[in-house]
Amino acid sequence: MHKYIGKRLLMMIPVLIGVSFLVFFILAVSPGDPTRMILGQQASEESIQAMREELGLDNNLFVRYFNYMTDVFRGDFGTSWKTQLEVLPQVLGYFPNTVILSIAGILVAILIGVPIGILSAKRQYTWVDNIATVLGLIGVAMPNFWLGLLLVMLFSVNLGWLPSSGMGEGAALLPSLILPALTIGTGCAASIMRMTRSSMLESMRQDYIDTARAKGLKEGYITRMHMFKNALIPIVTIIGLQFGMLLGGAALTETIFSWPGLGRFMIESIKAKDMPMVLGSAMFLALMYSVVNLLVDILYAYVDPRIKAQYHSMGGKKRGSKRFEKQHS
Amino acid sequence: MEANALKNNTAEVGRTEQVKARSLWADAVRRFKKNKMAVISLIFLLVLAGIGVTTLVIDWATDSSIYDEKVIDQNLMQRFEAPSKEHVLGLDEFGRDILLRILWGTRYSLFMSIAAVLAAGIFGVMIGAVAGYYGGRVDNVIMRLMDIVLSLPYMLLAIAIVAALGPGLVNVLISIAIGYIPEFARITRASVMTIREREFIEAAKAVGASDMTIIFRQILPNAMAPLIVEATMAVAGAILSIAGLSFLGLGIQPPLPEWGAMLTNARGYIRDAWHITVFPGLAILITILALNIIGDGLRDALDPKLKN
Amino acid sequence: MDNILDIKDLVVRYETEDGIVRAVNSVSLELPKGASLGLVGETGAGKTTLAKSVLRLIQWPPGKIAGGSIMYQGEDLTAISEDAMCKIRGKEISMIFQDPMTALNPVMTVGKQISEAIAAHENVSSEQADEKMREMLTMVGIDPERAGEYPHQFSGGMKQRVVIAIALACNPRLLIADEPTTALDVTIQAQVLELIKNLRSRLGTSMLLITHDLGVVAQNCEYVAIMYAGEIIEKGSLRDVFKNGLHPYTKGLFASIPKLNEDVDRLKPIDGLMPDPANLPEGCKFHPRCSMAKEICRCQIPEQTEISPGHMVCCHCFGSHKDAWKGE
Repeated sequence: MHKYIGKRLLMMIPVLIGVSFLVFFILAVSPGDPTRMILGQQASEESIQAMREELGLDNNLFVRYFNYMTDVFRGDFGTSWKTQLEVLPQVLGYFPNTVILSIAGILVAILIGVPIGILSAKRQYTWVDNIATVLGLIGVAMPNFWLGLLLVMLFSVNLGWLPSSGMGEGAALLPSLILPALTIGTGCAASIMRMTRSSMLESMRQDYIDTARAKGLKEGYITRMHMFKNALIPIVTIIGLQFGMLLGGAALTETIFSWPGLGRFMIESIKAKDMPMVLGSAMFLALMYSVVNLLVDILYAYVDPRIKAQYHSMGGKKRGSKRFEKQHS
Repeated sequence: MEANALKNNTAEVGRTEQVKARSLWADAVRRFKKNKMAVISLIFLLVLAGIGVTTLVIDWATDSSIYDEKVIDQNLMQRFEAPSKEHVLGLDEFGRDILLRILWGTRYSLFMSIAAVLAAGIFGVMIGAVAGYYGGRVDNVIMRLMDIVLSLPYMLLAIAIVAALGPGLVNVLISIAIGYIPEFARITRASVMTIREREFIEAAKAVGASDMTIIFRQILPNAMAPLIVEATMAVAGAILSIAGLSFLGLGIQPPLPEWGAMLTNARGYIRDAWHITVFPGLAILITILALNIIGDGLRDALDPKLKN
Repeated sequence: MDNILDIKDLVVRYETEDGIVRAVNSVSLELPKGASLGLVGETGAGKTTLAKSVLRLIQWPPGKIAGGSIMYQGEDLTAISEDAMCKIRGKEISMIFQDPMTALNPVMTVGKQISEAIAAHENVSSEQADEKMREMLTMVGIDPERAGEYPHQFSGGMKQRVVIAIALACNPRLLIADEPTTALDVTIQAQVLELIKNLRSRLGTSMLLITHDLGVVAQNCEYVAIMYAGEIIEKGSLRDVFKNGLHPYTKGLFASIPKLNEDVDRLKPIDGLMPDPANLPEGCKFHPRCSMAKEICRCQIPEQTEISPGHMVCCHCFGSHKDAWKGE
């Protein structure tokens, strides 16, 4: 198992290089002269030239990327163009809040999506299934920032039960987390529910379910140990994938609820045209997604022994089609 | 002489393939018609598209005077007015009719999404066809690139591109489109690879058809079914993404009546006027719902084996 | 004589969007205690459905047992509760499935798949269940050391041995074997049948053996029933059916297989195909393919006629209408 994890970690390196280059490439080619932004419109030609050299803007893109990454490995993500603050401590300050929010969101999504999906499959064609299917369709189509607004309207403004913005500390953390987590998790819950349902329906009609029934096992046990375990691969896939959607959606949810997370910070930096901050935030979010993907791949091996065997024999498998699976669930 | 016979033969094979394809489509249409929800959704979407076109025609005919007066111009005296007979969905924070803004917003939400997906589709199909048809190193390089694009969360990618390019219609369109290219490329590549070795392709090669002809005349029609399903779903996703970007202030900028942009200020007025928040969001929800149902219906109709 | 299994007028249907599939139509079948009955028929004749309905494995929707009774040791299996049925499955009656490639759960170790059957029925600790599981593996000729492996690490024949170990883990009184050898290589087929035979004689298990291979029946069964389009068209002892098969379909079956002791130039296949069970013909289900079909065969379902004790045929040739049939 260690060998397998090690292999997956090694395979992550090219992905990380590719992703960081893509993010760097997109953000570094942005039009506009950063030196003007830093020094102001009145700056003299010499000081601007000096600044260009300091920032290394005259080098070609690959050299700039290489320099950036070397600095990154030294823990230096650059300094803000606006506030002259160092990027890394800023990003590290916001990052945990985003982690808390996304983990709470994915937990909400799993706790709602998986049980309803299983129930819906077990009661196929009944009213339970019909209601779950309709809710699933609506949940997938729901713009999560709109859901967030509706939740605020209902639970904060009208009922006054939960805070509508900010992140509480200590005991106040949980109430302030509920609405954002629901906002970010509901759409994912619907996708997870739909995938759980179809995956369960698939495993329910396999021959080994007949074998299990013929052994005289109880239906609940069969559902857990035989149907669900075999349905897990697509479910784990969709959960990993939804985690990515959730990280993307974090910017929206964090903005609505004034949640002090990395997504909101990134949007504010974009509006302030503070590229080093944007770059640092995007790198962290992309890194987090890659780590989640890695965890999903490791989970696969626990869930399905055939995949582990494949790794031992071939040393790799094709990845990368995850969003597709989501949309075709 | 021989080549000619072969050519006829190829034409023959091609024709039977076409006949087969035609009956496949007829079957699909028949199955789709059975799905009531999907048919209703399709009608809804066509009506919505019709409205979108009508608003464009009106603007063209009136030189945008109605648009400027009713959709853009502010009328602060009447702000927050609740839904009434005159203004069915009420007035927004600047006293503009929400219904009219939603209808005029169709061009940004629906048409821009379709345009973005079309652009993504064209590039994606070309890239995928090249990768699948030539295989080998070309395929490897292209698909690894696509993998990297897929290793970024979609919204993060869109936000980063828009951050780099700045807001504006074309920039939003580009940022939305790029994220969907890999999907189309992957589907096309898969279809091309399964079909590449079939006899009628060999035959077409034998009579000297060029690579491009083979790709566009023989291979692509066979990949249409999954591409159409993907495109439908992608339009739904694109509407959501455009709305999200606009809501964040990175996409379509106010006062343009894009549905997500209409919600930008809603957060501040949530205590004063519920209808400002509810209706634009409902428009997004219903449109996406319709697209998803159509997509599901198309998939079931085109590939009945997948249906549960 | 005591029957361990007594099926009366069993009807099983699948109700699908495209219509009702009549998979099993009024089947009556009995299996004496300790004996072995071969159920023979073409693919799609309803053999597997019949076997599954004995264990009530037909899932609704779309399938259901629509009529008749299945008496097992005096108890009607179609009427008892699901809990009671769970106690019978695997313990009293167990089943070997057709395709060993798909019959095992791919994400569970083979050992666990055997021991969970033991744990479900016997009041034993998990160590004892493990112990018994190892015994079973040894019995079917698999190294018990491999208990921790997964099905994909086993060959087809080995998987079928595991399936047999599961079926026999709780010493059932009745074993239903649904084409246990069809998916296997010829050399392995003989081994597996030999294995089942030995285990049966050791445990005294009765068997319902489903197959389309008449040779397998001849070697393993005392009784034979021929199934066609969801009906039993002829049944009796091995000798009755093999030496004195009367139904035109039975005769057709025997004419279509090569015999060692006769020199036949050409095998005679039965013309036509089995009817679609969603769209069965009127009258005798076999009449469209029967060379002897008369008018009456087209409109009236033939009843069961006892030719000699225990030898039943469903054909107008022999029933109460035989005069009418001959007279036409």
